[in-house]
Amino acid sequence: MSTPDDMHKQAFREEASELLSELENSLLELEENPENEDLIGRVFRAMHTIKGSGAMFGFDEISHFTHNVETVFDLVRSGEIPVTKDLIDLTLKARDQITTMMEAEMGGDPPDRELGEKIIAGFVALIPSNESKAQSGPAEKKPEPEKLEPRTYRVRFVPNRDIFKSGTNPVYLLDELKELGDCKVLASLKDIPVLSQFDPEACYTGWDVIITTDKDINDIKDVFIFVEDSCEVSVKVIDDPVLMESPSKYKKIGEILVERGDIKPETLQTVLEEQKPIGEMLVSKGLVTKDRVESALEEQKTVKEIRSKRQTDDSASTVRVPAERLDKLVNLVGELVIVQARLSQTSSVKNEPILSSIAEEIEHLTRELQDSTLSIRMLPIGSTFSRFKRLVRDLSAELGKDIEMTTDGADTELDKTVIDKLNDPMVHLIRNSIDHGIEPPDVRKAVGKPDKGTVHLSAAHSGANVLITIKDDGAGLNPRSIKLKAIERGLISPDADLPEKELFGLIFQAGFSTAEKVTSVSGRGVGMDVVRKCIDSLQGSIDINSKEGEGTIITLKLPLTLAIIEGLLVNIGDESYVLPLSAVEECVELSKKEVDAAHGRHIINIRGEIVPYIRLRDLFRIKGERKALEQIVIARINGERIGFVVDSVIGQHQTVIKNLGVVYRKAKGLSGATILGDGSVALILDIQQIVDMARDKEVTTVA
Amino acid sequence: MSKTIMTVDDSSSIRQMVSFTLKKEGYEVIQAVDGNDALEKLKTAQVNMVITDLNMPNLDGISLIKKVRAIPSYKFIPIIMLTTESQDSKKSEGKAAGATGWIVKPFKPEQLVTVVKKVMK
Amino acid sequence: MITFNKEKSGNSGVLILGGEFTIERANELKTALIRHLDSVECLRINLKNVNEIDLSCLQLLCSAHLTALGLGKEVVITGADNEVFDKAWHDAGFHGFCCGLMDEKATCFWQGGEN
Repeated sequence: MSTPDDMHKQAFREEASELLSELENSLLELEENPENEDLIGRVFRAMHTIKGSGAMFGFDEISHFTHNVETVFDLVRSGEIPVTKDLIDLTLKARDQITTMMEAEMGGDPPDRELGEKIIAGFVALIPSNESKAQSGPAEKKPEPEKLEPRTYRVRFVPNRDIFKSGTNPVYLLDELKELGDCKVLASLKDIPVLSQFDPEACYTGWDVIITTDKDINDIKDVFIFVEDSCEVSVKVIDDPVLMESPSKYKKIGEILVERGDIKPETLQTVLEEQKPIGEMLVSKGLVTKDRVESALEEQKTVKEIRSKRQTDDSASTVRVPAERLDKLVNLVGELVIVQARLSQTSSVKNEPILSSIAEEIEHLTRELQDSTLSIRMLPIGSTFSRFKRLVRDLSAELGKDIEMTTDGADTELDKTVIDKLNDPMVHLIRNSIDHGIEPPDVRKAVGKPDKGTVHLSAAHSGANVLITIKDDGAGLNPRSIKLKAIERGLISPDADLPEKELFGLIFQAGFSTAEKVTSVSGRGVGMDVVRKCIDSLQGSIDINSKEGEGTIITLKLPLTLAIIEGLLVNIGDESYVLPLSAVEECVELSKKEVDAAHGRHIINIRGEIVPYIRLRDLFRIKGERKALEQIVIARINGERIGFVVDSVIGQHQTVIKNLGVVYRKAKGLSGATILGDGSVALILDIQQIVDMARDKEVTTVA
Repeated sequence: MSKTIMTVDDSSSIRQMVSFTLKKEGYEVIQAVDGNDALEKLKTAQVNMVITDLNMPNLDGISLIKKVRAIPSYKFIPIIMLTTESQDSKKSEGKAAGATGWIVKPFKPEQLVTVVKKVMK
Repeated sequence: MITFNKEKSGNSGVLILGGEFTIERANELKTALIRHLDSVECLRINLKNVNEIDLSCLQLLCSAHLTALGLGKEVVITGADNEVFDKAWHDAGFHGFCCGLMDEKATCFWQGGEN
């Protein structure tokens, strides 16, 4: 099959053979009429075409040979070299040589190179010395340019007024720049005249383009290659990563305008004496038009943005620190937060302006330090996600199911400790989805679903929490079978009428399994309760949503970090306690009247809803009388609302979690302690455990 | 609607290559063998762009560019000239006559397409 | 096509531009702008039906606005949400300033999609 290239070559061979036979005739005629310009022109053009077209289609040797012949006839044309018999002889020899070379290309005998060189030497001898240097050998290949770090350039392009008349659309050149990199194009319209003086065929517009590209400056200049002689084109590097300049510092507006030549340095000096934003002053004085200042501002903004972005890029890729050092840092910051709280409290008591302002500043700095320290430990959850991909692949193969895992929000960041602890519960949940959730392909086909099932993992921030969802398009949970199983297991009484959501919540109870068959993957009745315990220990919560036949969505709500939590500070007697704010829904009052009305049962009616409560004073056996008016903190635990009775609610509190000493580690109902601003210790309550404790107690009391 | 480009060259192999390359890119192509032929054909056809060689019998490229620019409907169309490396002075002569740009011979089909796309959308 | 409708009051008029506005028609556009800006106090230029516009004509619109400011008249562009116009305007880097020519007091040139 012949390629376009072969085709063009063949066309050239035909053309050349025509030209060569015509050339012979022309030369012979020229010998008769050495002054005939038309004949000279014909010879020149034949050589010109053989040379030019020959080079185009890969006949480099022929092109090179012909070059000197062409040069000589160009000089003949301009009258510098006369037509002589010798010249005609030499040219005829050259013509024959070219013919041989053409034939050699088509498989004929190779040309006599020696003869060829002799002929060339003959022509070169005719050319005055300065012209002979115009060699046109095969062009040297330019070395591949190295890939550059992106730089920012300022391109100023002010077209010639007549640019339209050369068939150039300057906007196309801007479009070309946009293909090289990120561009900000700002037109300069200051030269546009009023209609009466407007030449509709003239170009009055100029441009400043701020371009960030990894291309070389010559690539930018090349865009303007056709117009650079007739238009004002300047390209200047305004930001170079190699010259590590401070990100926030870039030239002042005045400097940019002077550098671009929009204003004179003296002008800047005079105006600088007054103090207003420089651009505004220059405009109001009519020294520069507003669009020029806008354009300079754009440049300043772009470079600043790029520099600060680069700085973050750099730091993201460099530091590796052992985790223990970070933990230590976090602990220290925790201590600092506590000391700072004391300082703030002290200063508010002393009411001294100087102390207050220092305390305020420290508070501000501490908060910032705390945020950035915690953010160091943040890692994207993506690596965990990708580990699950393998799990899904292996499990689905084992179970003969066709399952695809998709993810979303892999760059969502979470505290490293949270991510580490999250692994096991996630594995359980995904296994469950694959094993119990997604149906085998034939079942899916039968119900009109695609053969391939999907497990979708997603992570997203929501306030101080991260929501992680595991969603499958499987069979969904069957509330009836859950209920039956729960009754069978004695988890609920047969006449209990639970809403669907609470039924679903039962699968997280210990010893629950709905799968008909026990497989190697899941369904031994351990797992889901372990998941719940694990999520609880992370101060998180689980929400489950399912529709029969459509699939299940499990949402894990987790705090961003475990080191510091938002807590609710409460008092009971002389003691302070902290409840995790994430679980708290509201606080209400509990009067003696209401207690009496409940006839000894620990329930309260809140807007028509009956809510059980636990009196922490009793649970912790705190001495002293209870108050006439107590407070109940209502929290949601596993979808149920439960109240915790305390003496008084102090308010929200940034709680730095300190581990309890060995002696207290086994104490139930506590997850840690924290130090308050006044130096006293407050215990952090594990409300889930407290509810369990209260339940157990009830059971034992009844029994 | 596809754009029409005229290729003017006395070398048939170049005309063929230009024409083949541009047609493959979806352009309509009209061929002319020299300046006079080009002017004749411009009268009847509506052309969006001209690519012309400089050295041609009868009417050379520079004169052709000047004459094309004098026709009102072709005042603003892109005109590309084909030059050789040794013709640097021709480049500025051509620009002065109203050429939009140039391609230096020898060139590859891709270079031709790049230049065409640079000056016409 | 360029059509002009003068309102009954005679103070304002609408210049409706339709079709391709490239440099070949720049002179025609200039003439129309001068004539109609002369006849009214407020000239509304409707670009809704423009299906091509190049730099030469964009410049003319700015010039019309500049001219109006000088005469104490008003030029308002309508139908500027036309995609073709919006693209041309952005590609040419004209966005970002109100024509770059206006003094602080001037009302903004661009009023968007009315008519």
